Amino acid sequence: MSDIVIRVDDLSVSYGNVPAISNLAFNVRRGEIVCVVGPSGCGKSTMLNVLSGLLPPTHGSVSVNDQVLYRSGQPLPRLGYVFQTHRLLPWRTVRQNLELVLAAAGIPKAEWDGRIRSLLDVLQISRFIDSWPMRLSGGQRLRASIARALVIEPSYILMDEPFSTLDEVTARTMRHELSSIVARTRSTVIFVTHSIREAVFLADRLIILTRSPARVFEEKVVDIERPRLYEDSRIGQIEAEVVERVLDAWGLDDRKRAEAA
Amino acid sequence: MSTGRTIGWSVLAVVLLVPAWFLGYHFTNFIGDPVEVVGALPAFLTSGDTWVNVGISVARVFGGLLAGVVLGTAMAFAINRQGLLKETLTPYVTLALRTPSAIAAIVSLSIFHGSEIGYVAVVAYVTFPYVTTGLLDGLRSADRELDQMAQIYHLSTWAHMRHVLGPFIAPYMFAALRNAHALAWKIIVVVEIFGAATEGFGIQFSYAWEYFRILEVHLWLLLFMAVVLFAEYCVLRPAERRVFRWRDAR
Amino acid sequence: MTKLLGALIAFALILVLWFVLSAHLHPWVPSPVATVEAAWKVLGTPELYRDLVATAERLVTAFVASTLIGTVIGIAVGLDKRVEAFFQPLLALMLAVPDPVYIIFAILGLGTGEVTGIVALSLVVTPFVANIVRSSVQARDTTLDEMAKVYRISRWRTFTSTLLPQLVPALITAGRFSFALSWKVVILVEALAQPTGIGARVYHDFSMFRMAPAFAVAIMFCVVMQIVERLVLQQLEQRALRWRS
Repeated sequence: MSDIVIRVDDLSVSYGNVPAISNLAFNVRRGEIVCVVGPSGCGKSTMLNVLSGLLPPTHGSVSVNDQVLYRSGQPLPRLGYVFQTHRLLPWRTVRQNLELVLAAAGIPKAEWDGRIRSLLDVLQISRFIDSWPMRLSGGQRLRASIARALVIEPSYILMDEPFSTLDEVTARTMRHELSSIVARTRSTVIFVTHSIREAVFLADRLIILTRSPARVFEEKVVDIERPRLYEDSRIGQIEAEVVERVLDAWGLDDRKRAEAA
Repeated sequence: MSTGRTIGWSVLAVVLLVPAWFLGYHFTNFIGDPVEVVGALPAFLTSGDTWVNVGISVARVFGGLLAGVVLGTAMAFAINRQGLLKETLTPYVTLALRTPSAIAAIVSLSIFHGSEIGYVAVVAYVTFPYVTTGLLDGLRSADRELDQMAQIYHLSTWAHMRHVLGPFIAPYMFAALRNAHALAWKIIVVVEIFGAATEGFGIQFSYAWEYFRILEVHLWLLLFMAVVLFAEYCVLRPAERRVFRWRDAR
Repeated sequence: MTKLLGALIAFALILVLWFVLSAHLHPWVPSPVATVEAAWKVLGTPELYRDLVATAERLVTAFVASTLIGTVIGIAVGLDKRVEAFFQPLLALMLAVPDPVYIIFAILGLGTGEVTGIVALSLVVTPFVANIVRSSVQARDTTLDEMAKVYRISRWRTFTSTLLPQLVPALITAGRFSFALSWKVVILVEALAQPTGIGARVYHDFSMFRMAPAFAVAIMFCVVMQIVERLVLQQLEQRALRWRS
């Protein structure tokens, strides 16, 4: 089995005549955390929709474990998704929410309890196992959402700006925890964010997109050893470098515009 | 205002009905003597005849509501698909919604000649549009986000219906059901009167009225209200509350 | 475009069903042809128009009465929690009384005159109106009340300048709803309690097995009422709500 879990091959997606993604291509290796950053409206959501099986491409393809998505007759890959809003079913307990995806993934019932308990333990929300999501705080619901993504041992996990609705302190805690959990479970993760610092902190590799229609502008490997500290100056340095490089590409450079005027 | 206070005022209102009744009896000629009515209650309530009539009406209402819910649900899903189906079915919903109860009764009686099916049919006819509009409201405001989550995690269609869509539209369904239920009881009395049924609340009101038995009008009215209110507050509302336990936010 | 097609198909299907039923259930269900003939015939008689006028008079009187009374009750109940707690059970009980029973009591108390019909009709419609107005009042922007308190605006002024304008849409909806309900219930009231009127006529024909005229008049009345509801009331609503756009 090859080392590459996700292969995005010359992907293009258009809504009618309007291209959202154009010749996007990158790979994700097993156990890698890839952070995708791009300006607003560049097509990140479209890309996520394609990767999660919701939206077939207009051109090009996406393969998971060497099987091309959106071909009829193929078994669907197991994936986890952590949304920006928790998207837990409010009328089911945390346990039931997890059991739902376990059932859908075809995992034998005998394993359910063990998996659920160990994951909730790792995410420190064991005591909420039989609670309704509405009784949990925002951070706790996010943990439950992450648990749901992990419990099925997916081929890959997509994360769509999951920490953007949290307060900074909680977000910072979550980033550190996510980092260690993902390392421990050796999950393959594609993490979309608009915070370059967050991306640098979490990523093994950064994928920087262009403005709409999105294609890969640059990839950057983040070489800092783990466990990382958010306040680490090296992270700030890399962040600054990246920001410098994208200012122009994303059309945000006021200085250059002022100079040209 | 605390719940205790609210209940207090409500109880006061109900309690004041008793002296109001006495006053009504003294000052009008159509309100019966409370003492006499209450005195006649035990015999009335223990008579088998009484409950046969109640049972028949309840059966008709229940059957009609069931049919109305099934039909209404099917209509709602069909209409939600848009297109020609929606435009063909919507006029029926509108028509049923706007048919006066008396007319619905007459048409049903001419088609079904007062058979039991006719009673069930007219209740179904009158109630299904409420179920349809209520459900459509729910379907249209359905949470795309949860649908996407269900799709991404490969939930089966059945699981989707049962765990995502069902619970979401349940509140709309319950609200529609409460309206439909109230309406069902209103129409059954009318049809039973028009149709000269042999049994049921409607015909008992009719007999009592025809033979000037004011006492009986009171007895049947009290029983009717008790049954309707019981169904609403002791069956429907508790069921609704149970289903929505999860709503208590932190 | 699809809308028109759909409506036509819907209408056609009903027509077909009607033909089939009338063929099988003759003479209980009159054929569409017989119904149209009966309609044509009855439209030439002056009695029909006398009945129509009688119905219209009762309808308008009761509709105005229940809208006014229902609105007053609805406002009172909607503004004060105690009043609401007090009247809620009474309203619930009133809604639980079947319409024919109101008619029975009205007849017992007031005889079989005109007033009876109007009173019975009002008794049925008013609780509904009160309910609707109550919800609208409770759904209003209460922060404006607070603003009025802070600026010490007198109660009357508060009522007229902040409350009333917010209530206008509610009143209009209540009026529309009241009318819609009233014209349906007036048929029942007339059928059971009055010698004249459209409802009385339809019920009389029905009980004499004159199905064609019964159906004919019933259908025509419903259509006319729908048109009135749509045209007249919608016009009024739009004019009164001009300030909103």
